[in-house]
Amino acid sequence: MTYDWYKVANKQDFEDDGFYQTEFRVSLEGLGIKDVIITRGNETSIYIDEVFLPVNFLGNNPFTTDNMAIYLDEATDDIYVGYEVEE
Amino acid sequence: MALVNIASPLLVIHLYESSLTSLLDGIPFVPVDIKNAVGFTIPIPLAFASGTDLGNSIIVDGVDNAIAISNDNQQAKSDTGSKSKVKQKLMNASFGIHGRYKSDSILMQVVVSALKILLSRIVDMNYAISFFYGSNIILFARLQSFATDSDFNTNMINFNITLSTMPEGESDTVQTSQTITQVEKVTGVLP
Repeated sequence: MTYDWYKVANKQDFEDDGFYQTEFRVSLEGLGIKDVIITRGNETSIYIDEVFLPVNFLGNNPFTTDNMAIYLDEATDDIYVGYEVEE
Repeated sequence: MALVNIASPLLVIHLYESSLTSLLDGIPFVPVDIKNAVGFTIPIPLAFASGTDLGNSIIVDGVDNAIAISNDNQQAKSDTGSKSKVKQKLMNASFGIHGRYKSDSILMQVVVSALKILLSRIVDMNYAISFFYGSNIILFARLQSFATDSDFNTNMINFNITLSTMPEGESDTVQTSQTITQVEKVTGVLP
């Protein structure tokens, strides 16, 4: 499956901030402005477009749902949210 | 169905029909996908609290039920069923999510019972559970390693629940940024 990926946060930066949750806005190319929550629970997770996406959930990286995905670049700790697109 | 600004120490349970298959396959938790949810939200007040007065307690305040759960078994017994008392304690408590609750003995048993009470009042048990705190998703329950479908649908609920919350010492502050960051897309199997 192919996705449009957007780098929305950095896991290490978020953890270094010490907050359990940060709310912010991004303007995603082609999609417009989105409210995003990055939160620390069992895993670090992203909440966007009313979808809850745990990073590296159950060892799945990327972790995918029906139409969305989340990917952690382990080299940089960048977190990408993916929207599935037609191949 | 949006999660917005529930400015009280209440949690909302969302039930997802599609979660059952994955649960039976041994996946302990299915992430919330509100867009594809069955389509209803049941605002059962559910509070997880910790504080001096409560000890390491979890309070489940259901439709007609209130159960306080504590590592101190006697304390848990004394609070169980006393809805007004539990509510009062909750109001007086410094609300927060602290500690880490593992699935062990009494704690797990009572949590299972509490969930069962809530579930039995709503639907049959072919659902998974996710917990939200207002608009802030800060914890969720995992249903783990129950044996069979029949166990899940009878009174012999045989699974473990782990409630993981914020570790001690972590900030319980939400940071909000007003800055809008422009993000370009990268198309591909992986970015």
